[in-house]
Amino acid sequence: MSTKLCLWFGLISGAFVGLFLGLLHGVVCCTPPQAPTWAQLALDGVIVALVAVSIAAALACLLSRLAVLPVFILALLIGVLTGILLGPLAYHLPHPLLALLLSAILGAFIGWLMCRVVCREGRSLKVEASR
Amino acid sequence: MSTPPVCGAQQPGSVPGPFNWQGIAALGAGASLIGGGYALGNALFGASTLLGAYVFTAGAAGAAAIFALVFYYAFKADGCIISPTKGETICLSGIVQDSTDESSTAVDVPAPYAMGPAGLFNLVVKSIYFRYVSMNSYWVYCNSLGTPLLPCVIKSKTACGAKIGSLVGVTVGAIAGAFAGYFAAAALGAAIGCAASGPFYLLCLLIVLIVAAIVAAAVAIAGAIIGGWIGEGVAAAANSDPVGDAWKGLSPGAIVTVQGNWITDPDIGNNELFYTTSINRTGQYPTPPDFTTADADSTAADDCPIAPQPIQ
Repeated sequence: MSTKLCLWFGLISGAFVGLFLGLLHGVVCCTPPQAPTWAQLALDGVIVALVAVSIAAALACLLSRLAVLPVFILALLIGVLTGILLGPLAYHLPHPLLALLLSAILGAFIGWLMCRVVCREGRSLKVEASR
Repeated sequence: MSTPPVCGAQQPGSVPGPFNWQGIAALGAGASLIGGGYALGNALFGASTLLGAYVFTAGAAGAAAIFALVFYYAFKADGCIISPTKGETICLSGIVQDSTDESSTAVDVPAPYAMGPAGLFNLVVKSIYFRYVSMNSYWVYCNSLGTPLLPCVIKSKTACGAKIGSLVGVTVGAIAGAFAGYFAAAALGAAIGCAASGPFYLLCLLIVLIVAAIVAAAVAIAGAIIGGWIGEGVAAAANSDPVGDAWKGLSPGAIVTVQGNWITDPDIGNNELFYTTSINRTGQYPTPPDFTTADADSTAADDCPIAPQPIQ
């Protein structure tokens, strides 16, 4: 149950980070043009991922009647990680749909990995999120 | 009297559930809609401004996510659009241990597309029907006296109408939402003037894209909810529901003969009737719960046509 939840959270946040940052590929500001820094792209990625994963977590709690706090903590961790890692990557990919596809797959992998790490503890998120 | 099944876990390993094809199909539908939104955005707005096309794509993505969600629930194998897992049709009898109303206003009102079964009742079966509780199962539920129970699930009269209504509503809502998101985000972009935001230019554009997606998703989900309510209302007015009506009249201690589709639950692994297709109440047990198998065996002969085979 919780592995599936982590996969879905990672996939959804990764897909939106990929699409939105991919759409901004090549968009630069100022004269002379300044390419965004890695930190700026990571921040942008985190913002998109947190918005997407928060909505996904709210829907998951509503529809599956899961415990709210552990699900949101899990969503927060996955969102931050996918945003930081995938934001800069997605921005540099040449096509937004390619960025969406690749980031969704990588996001799902990050979510799965996060579950493997976080949900191994004694009174774990896995137990809480499976209620 | 047959040997009663052990309560709890029956065998090691995980329950072999069916392949979750509706999840894959929902993802495919969502991705296709985003691709379509990207192409449509470029065709409609790409000639004037590339960012316009991108804003429309972001709106389409928000709407597509909601469409995928509703699609996933609508195409679950719950007997609405897709038939439930086909098991064996069985008949058995016993005493109703308890009855649970599974409907939830907190879910049914804001998310009619996710409506589940109406409820279930747990049956203390006669000992000749033990095989139906334990055979090939991974889990056996028992009451506080350790008596094995068979859950009998009741189909919701209105869930199917709600799901179909939501599917229609979200389709209309997603199309309207993509355009609404585009216009809302364009208005916001013009109001805050991203071009003048210097090093925060990218962040400003990103916020515009996020607003487009959220507005589109909100319109799409509103379409799904309104469509679901309408579908629910139509189903409630049009359908008769003899099994649901009989279930509502059951109280703990009711002696019943039931028929239904006998399957192993794909999540927990217990055997159950999914769904119960007939309930024939034949009496009321004189004492309150909990009940034992001996209590069930002491009731009058049931009206099932064929006695089950004993466990091999």
